[in-house]
Amino acid sequence: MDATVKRKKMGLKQRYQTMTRGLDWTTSYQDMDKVFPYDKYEGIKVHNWDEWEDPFRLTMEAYWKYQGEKEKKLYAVIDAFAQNNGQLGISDARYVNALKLFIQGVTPLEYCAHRGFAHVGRHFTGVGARVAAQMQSIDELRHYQTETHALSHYNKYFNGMHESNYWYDRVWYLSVPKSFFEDAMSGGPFEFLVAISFSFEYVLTNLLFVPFMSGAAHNGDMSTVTFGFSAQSDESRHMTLGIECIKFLLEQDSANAPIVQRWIDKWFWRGYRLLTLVAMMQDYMLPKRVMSWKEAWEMYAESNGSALFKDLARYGIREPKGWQDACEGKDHISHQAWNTFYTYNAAAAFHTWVPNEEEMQWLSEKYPQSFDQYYRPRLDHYDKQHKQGQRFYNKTLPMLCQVCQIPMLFTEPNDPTSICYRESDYADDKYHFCSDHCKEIFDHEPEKYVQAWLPVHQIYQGNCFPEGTDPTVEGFDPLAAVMEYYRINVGSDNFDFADSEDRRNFTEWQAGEEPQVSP
Amino acid sequence: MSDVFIAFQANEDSRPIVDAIIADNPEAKVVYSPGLVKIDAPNRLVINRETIEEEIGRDYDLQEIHLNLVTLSGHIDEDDDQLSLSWDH
Amino acid sequence: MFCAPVCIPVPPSTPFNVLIGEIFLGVYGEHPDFVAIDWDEVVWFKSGHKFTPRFDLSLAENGLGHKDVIRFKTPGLKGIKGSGS
Repeated sequence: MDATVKRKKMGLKQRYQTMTRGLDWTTSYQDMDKVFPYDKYEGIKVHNWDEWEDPFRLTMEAYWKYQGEKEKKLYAVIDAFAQNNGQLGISDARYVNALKLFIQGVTPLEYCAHRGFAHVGRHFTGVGARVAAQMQSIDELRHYQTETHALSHYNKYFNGMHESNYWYDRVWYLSVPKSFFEDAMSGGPFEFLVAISFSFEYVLTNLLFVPFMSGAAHNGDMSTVTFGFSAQSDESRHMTLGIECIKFLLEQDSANAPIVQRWIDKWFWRGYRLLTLVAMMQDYMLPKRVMSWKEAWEMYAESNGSALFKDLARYGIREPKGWQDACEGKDHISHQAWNTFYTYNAAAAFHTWVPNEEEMQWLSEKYPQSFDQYYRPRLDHYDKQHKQGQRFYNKTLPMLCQVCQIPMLFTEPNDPTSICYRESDYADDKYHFCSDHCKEIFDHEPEKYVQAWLPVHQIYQGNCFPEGTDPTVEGFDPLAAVMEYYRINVGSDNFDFADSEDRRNFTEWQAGEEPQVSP
Repeated sequence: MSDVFIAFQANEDSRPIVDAIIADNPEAKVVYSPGLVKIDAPNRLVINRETIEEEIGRDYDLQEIHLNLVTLSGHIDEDDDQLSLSWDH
Repeated sequence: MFCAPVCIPVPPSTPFNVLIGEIFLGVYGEHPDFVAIDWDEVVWFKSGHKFTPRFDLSLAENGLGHKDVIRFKTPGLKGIKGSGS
């Protein structure tokens, strides 16, 4: 019997061109500049959108087909995980706090990316870029949904996950990821692409994904591992969009280079600051550790990054201004961040703890230049205090950086005993920053950053109390009122892991008791 | 000269793809780690649909690699018969 | 021990010695070296520049305004096990 000859009418490239090109038009009874009001104001010059090369040519038909198959596989695993009480297979209940950090601080960013790409997908005049952005918008919504589904199972058994969307818009440490993405979304479409597609999805993506996903694999969390794999081919499309857009902008006009450089400087730094949370997670929150933040930085930033910027040198692009300071920070930021959450754990919706002796040894080996000298002594002190029934909780609100909104916990490059302070006077007020690089971002666009909603200032202004609160009442406890406004359950979402319901429950379940699903 | 690479989830679906790549790219090197198979090649790597079809014993749509693709590096060129990664400028 | 500087809302009329005698106790009092601080030896900075406050005057009279930043160094006290913390 003769095999059926498959006769395609068009090749892939032609099919893709047909399905995505020639469907646009030049407007006739409204000015193009009115219909596309954002594509010129950033000063980026595009002479010929036809030079945009689509890295992956997935037509909608192929997209639905393959994404649909991935979904079926993923949800089958999520179901199996739930049916088999997969949450009992994790290394240690402390690990779940890494997932809490993820659903609180990373998952909402997927939704923001979805909205951001939908927006830029409307505002470029180039069809290739519009289609790519729209496809990514759908991918990002998918990531938001699949992460929420994968992690929702844990929500039945552990605290600190129940109000993640609500917390994202209000809770102090979550203004860090929120302000990062809102900064990108409120910029122009070209800045958004350089910020997210290039700086985040290409340059820094491995430093977000690999720590969480390999952390999941090493700690028995099959649900998250499976989500990670399922998202990975989406991410490779996003990466190729990032590198394509930077190439396109730099090849269209040499005058674009200084604009793009400034965005690369800004977004490398903002992305690096955001990754502080991941550094802390990697070094402190994984009972079975994979590699240190320092090692991950050396592998994924220093090695990959230097090859990339060598490649971009031909366009007149140099490595980001903050590169050296970011490399210097690799010995310090994870420890400084953990100390922040440890001491402010009364106000955070996940648990913290002092590492055990074996973990301290690991940290000491991985950080020979810094851990024993600067960071272990206070951890030992905290441990001693906790054992005496005086676990330290800082009750005074921290000073925040106006731009990255992180507490001013970072030290001067090359002096880990001195906090790094920078400031600017602008329009009869004073603004503070954690670094030269956040200050430079502010100084370039002060009107943008003076509008920042800083959680600490908002709390002091009385904007973070439940509706109808009277702060003048005798015995008023402002921190308790803030926690009520936050909807963080005091005594179950916060405080030390050692004293937590999570720990008590997990110990009972490991001893053979049936887990009770929470109502 | 820099390496290009492509990485897949290590499972039965990706096995014939990996075998096809090795057959068509003599300088490629394969590295296995938990759940992942990564293939590095100097400067250029090609994936041919026909070779995969010989391995897999059925018709194959090259875009099926999206089901198991994890990450890659290099400039992509794609059509119905071939996917290539390269650092040629 | 204190991961970052703190942000505190205080009236400009607050006497400087109330700042260090009462407010700082609430903020920093749990540090094991707090009681050992000799306030006459402490070195002060305002926005990174040397600053000599008068303890008998208010914050405003000492030239401190809204969102000003002050720091102090404790000579001889180098933190827990000399870590600077």
